[in-house]
Amino acid sequence: MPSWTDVEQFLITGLSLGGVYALSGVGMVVLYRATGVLNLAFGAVGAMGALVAWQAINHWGFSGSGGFWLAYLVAILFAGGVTLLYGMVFGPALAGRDPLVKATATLGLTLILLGVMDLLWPSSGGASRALTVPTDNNTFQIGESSVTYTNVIALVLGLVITIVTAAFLRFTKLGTAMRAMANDREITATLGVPVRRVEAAAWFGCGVLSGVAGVLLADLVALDATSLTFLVISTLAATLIGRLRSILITFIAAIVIGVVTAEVTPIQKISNYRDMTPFVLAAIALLVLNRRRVISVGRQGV
Amino acid sequence: MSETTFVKAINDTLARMMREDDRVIVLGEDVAEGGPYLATEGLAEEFGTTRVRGTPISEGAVCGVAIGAAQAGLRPVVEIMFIDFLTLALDQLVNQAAKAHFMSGGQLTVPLVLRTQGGSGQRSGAQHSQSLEAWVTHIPGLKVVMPSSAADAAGLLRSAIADPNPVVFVENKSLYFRRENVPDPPEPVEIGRAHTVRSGHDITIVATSRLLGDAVEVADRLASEGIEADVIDPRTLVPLDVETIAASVRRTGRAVVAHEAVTTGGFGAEIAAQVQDHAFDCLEAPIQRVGAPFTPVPVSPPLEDAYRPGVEEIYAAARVCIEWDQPAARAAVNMGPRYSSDGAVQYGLSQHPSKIVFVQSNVPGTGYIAAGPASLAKAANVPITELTENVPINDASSVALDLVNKAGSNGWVVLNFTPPEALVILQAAQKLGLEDRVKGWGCSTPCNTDFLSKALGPKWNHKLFVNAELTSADDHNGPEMQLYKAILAKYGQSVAGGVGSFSQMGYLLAKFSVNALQSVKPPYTIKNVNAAFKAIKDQKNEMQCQPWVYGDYPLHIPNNADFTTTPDNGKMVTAQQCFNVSSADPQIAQYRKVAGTAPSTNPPTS
Repeated sequence: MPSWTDVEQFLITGLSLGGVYALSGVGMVVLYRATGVLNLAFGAVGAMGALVAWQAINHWGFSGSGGFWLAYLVAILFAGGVTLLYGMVFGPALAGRDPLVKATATLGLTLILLGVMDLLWPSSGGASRALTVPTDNNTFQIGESSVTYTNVIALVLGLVITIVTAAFLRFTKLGTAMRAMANDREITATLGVPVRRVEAAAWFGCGVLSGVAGVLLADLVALDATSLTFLVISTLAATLIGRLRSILITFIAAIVIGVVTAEVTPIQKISNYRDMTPFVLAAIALLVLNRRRVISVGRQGV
Repeated sequence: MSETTFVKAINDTLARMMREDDRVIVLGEDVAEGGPYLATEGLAEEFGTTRVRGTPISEGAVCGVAIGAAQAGLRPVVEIMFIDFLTLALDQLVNQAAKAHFMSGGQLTVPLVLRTQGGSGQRSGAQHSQSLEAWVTHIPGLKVVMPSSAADAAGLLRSAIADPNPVVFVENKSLYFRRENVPDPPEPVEIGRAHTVRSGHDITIVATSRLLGDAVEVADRLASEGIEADVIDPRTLVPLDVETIAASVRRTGRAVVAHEAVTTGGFGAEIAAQVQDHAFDCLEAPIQRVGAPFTPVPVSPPLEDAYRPGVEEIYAAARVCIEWDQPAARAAVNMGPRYSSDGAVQYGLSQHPSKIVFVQSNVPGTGYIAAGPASLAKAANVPITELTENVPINDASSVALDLVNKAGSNGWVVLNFTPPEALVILQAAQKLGLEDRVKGWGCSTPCNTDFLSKALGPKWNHKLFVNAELTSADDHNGPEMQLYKAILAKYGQSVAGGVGSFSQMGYLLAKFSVNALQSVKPPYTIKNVNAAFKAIKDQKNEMQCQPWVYGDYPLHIPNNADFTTTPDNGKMVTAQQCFNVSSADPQIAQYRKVAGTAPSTNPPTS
């Protein structure tokens, strides 16, 4: 069995990864609540953002500390822009369609971006790139483990974005409009809410978060188009546990997924199965949540 | 000649025989209505329901009635709608019909034809799709025929009805509606006579019923590859025309037997046994059997399609047969990354660590690779932990942490990954300050690449030791290395891996291949090209520790003396000159035993 030192070390890596999952999950939930679109291109957009940042740093002369941050800003804005563009071009046409159709349509964007990334940044023949955030070099100790500020940023950012987004949806006009649209797009439109503008804000917000997640994951995981694109699956599990509604539950689920995945790593017998963690947790959570729902429905029936 | 279908040929022959002979009657479930596949359509209208008699759903009773009628002088043709339900009539067929002539001392005959059909492909499920003909071939006293064409169906049915003994007539529902030309009137086909559908001299394919058409298709495909196949349809399983089949195999030396029934206990086993009895000395390869897997017929359409043997299975079996004694046509087996992993572990062991942790991708074949490092560690009496990681790695920090924890402060971690995965782990270790938490790190040859050394910071200088199958590109600059780099720069810009072991090896192998091909006098044939490659030996090059040899060995490890490199401020520099990869790995020992230890061009230092 792993010792407490092991548990503590893996807790730190798990929390930071969970934080980024949370960040991604919140972005996906916000968009879903406003537009009914489950954005499966979240990871691909983030990956491309991260590769743009890499390009800026390595080939466009964005060097030095200021250059680094500028490159990340470019990456985040790029991700926001691509997502916004997609939302504005295809969003209206898809608005009346089934949620499954909307989600599948974002797979189209995923595939296009994957293709473009492979064309511009080929990974054949074993090529590898790395994107490191300057905060990697600043570390402090917790017990025997060293923690980088990037780990801290990932977790804190996940938490902050969750709180800010929850507050935004509850207390701002735009947030109220988004919630209303999630409830009924047509009625909201007849009440004078500028539907297109609200949707645009949701798409852009989602894109910005995918950019932030892309840059952080490129540092914490790897700057690899395929890996980053499909990390959206872990996030998806968290959003499902939150039933694509609750930002808080999505946040908690993402953290739990990150931590459990990390804590399973040293247990050799099941270590190779840890990629299944998001789905196992999602399946258990959905079964339990469904059961409660069945019971409550049953009681209503009585 | 007139065009018809298999089922229409059956229908026409039944009508013709009933017109010619009043004793011929037809009975079975729904026969008066034409049956599910219309094999008896129109007969009741022409001959009346006394001679074309629909029966209750009771296969045993129908068969019993027919046997009695046959013994009383009629010539009944019984239809069992699906061969799957022959099981219900087996007692009457096996214990009565097949035995009557013998047990009555020849006083009784049973001129009975039992028509039935089997075969998969109609999405009919496990109980309506079987091929059970082998069951009845095991019963002395029963003849079993299995036509594959409309003409044979008509001709054999005539002969079966005329036969004084019980004949089981097995059709295949997939053939029923194929159109083909048949002689008009149909010519009788003798029971017990096989048909050579196509002649060739390289391989014999014996195929029954539906698989005959597939066998002919395979023969066409083989012909396009310069291989001529004899294709034989036995047509009758009992009595089997062994002589025709054996004569063919004596000529070709190779045989494939194909049927739709499951291979296990299928009639193909009997044919194979008979062939080896009659033509053993002429066989140049084991007889290959093609049949369905040993499982009930699946009801799911994709699974049923996967279950059904056909063209691809017959072709694959034919290729096995043809290539059996031509090992030169097969590539020799390489060790893959095993010996390079050996080399990386060997360097680690030379630094006297307390433990080795060896980790690689979780893909098939890892057990084989890990066996090399394990045997080296065992010989050095150092404990080793073997791990695998799913790729792509999504949580490199956890992986790096786990490796370091498992190795301990005096341990040695050895990675066997592609450069991107190795880089991800090493960078994660660096971020968490783990590079100094173990005695040292090792990596197999993929890590010997310029971009990895550039991407890793100075913290890894002389901390990571990479096994390099060829000289380090950074601190050697002989004419060969210059040529390789120039070629890579000019033609290999899309080789994203850059300068390193992989593209170096590609350069070298291309060079050896060109040398070999230049030694061949055109025209190029498989034989002379293979011979030229086998003759490659003593190929020296400044990048290698020892001359390169292919030869004709059962295994292929020509490069078994390597270097060790290490990053040094963005470059990969040599940390250890040529050394022989340890013979503690039994595969290396085996290779050296057959091929010898090649003299080293760069003498080993250890």
